Amino acid sequence: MLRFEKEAGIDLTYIPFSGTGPLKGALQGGHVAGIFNYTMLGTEMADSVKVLAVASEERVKALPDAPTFKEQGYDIVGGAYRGVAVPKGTPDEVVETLEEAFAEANRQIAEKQEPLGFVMEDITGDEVDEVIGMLRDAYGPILEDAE
Amino acid sequence: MDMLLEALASLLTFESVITVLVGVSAGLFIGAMPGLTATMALAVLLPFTFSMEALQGLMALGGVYMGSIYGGAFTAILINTPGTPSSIATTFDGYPMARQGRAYEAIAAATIASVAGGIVGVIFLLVLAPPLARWAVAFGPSEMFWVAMLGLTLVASLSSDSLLKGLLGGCIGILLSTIGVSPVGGESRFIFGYPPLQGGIELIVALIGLFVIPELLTMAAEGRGALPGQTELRKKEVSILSIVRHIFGKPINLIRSCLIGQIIAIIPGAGGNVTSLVAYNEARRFSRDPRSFGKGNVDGVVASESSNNVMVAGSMVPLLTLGIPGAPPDAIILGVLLMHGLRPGLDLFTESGVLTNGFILSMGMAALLLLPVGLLGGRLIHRVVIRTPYYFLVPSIAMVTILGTFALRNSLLDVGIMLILGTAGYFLRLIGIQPAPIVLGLILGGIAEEGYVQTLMAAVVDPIPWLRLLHNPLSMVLAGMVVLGAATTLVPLWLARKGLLDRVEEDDGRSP
Repeated sequence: MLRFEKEAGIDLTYIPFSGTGPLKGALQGGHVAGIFNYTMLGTEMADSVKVLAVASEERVKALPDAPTFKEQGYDIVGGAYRGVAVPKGTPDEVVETLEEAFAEANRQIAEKQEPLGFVMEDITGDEVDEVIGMLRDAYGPILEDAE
Repeated sequence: MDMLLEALASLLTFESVITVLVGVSAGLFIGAMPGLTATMALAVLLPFTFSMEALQGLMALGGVYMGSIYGGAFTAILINTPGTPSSIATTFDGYPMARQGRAYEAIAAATIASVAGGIVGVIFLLVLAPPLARWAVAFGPSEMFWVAMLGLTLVASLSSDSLLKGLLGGCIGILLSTIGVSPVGGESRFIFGYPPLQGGIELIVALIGLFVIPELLTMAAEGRGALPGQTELRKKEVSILSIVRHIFGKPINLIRSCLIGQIIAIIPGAGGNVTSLVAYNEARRFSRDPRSFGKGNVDGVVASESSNNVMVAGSMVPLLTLGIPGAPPDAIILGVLLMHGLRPGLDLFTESGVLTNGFILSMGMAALLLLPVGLLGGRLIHRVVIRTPYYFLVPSIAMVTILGTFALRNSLLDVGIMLILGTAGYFLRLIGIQPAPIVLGLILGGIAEEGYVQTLMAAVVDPIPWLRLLHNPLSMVLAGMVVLGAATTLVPLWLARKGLLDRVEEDDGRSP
């Protein structure tokens, strides 16, 4: 949200909620003007809300009518990333086996979750460093401002 | 209507009845264990439903939900320990009744009240779900703040001997609720440099500690069981028929408790623990003989148990129509619905109406089945508690509570907190500070804080930010109820102190 404020040059009032659950009620009851949340909430609440923008590279399959931030001129791509780490010096074969296993698991999970509106990406190898670098560039200045 | 009949038909098979029966029994058993809540019962038994058909799985879980909320009443009545947080208010009168040898009367009343409440909730859900759903979203942060405040006025009525001690207990509870990561903002507070405390004090942990441990210490100190022996019991046993007559003869208490249960159940975030406390408080306020509450008035048990079982189906209103869980256990039900490809919304009542109606009706059936299961099981558990000598009873309850506390989050720290709070609670009780106001403060402190902070954050641009707390009619009405609630307890007290109102006269005027 701070990234959006910066990109768009506007000032928003931030009200933290304790999770995704209460957000639905807050939006439907008109207690907040808008929310930032996962894409899957957009499909879940398709009947009652309008998704203004999604923060992915391309449009989300389950939300074909929702434009991305990029399309609208704001350079915001992000999401919730989960990572797997191994101790330094782990043999390459072990790393490869694990990578394959996680890739397969991710593929199976994605099959079920994508229709629900999740954006699933499988990031491996050097791409991991790229994503971390991208996130550092995006959030670093904000954190520095906060200090 | 066709869908309703079709759903009813699919429900009246031998298999379905057995499914619900097993669900109710399992839920009852788990609910009766201190520390194991309805949410946990659902979570633990959820995997067993994976292999079932959608309807059968939902039926089983509906039964578990209903059974576990009711099961909490057993321990509340017999050993002064709410099995689930929704039974806190049941201890207020249930346990005094048991001490007077009226345990079975209390259990029977709780059973009948639960059945009635469960069925009323199902009817509300079937008939009124869509219009009621609009209510649910009307409760925003400022309204939640006032609901919590309304609950806190209860402190006054829970502390019958000394208002000051009650308020002191409430303050201790609110202070306890601030330990850990703050609900809005996420700062760590009062952890005294000890990071594991960031998790805060879990309600169940405090509940077990404050209610069970002092009771166990008292039992051990006095060398007695939880209840007087059998001879005394027989003498005072009342027939079930007369209890039924008592409850339905003057149905106002039941109706009021059911309505309160339903209204609070649809507010997201306030669960069964809040419903039963508010219903109890109102039953007391409107009673002709408020002094007898807390000393073994059967109406207190009825109010608490009927309202928390209304909540079971009642909290499904926002869940099924909007996908907003009305109480914590509903979050699990939501997961099950999504797993079976059922998306909450009004479609649920039209397109997959048979399934939805079947689920709702099965909760009604579960409520009905509480009657035989509860009355039989109640007699059994009651006998066990009475016949077991205290030197077996105390250690076994202590063991179960420690296990239950640990099972909650697999945390030994929780066990430590539970024991510390319990020991503190014992001494607090000796100086007249009861556990109920403390727990109340703990439950409502967090809700009030979150509502207050969110409201004020939304109002940063307003000239007078706190006016946002009264920004719409609903919040004004709620605020008015808080003032009224506080006034009805405080004004008579104040008048009495000034000598303007003679206490004896007041008593005479009120007694029937």
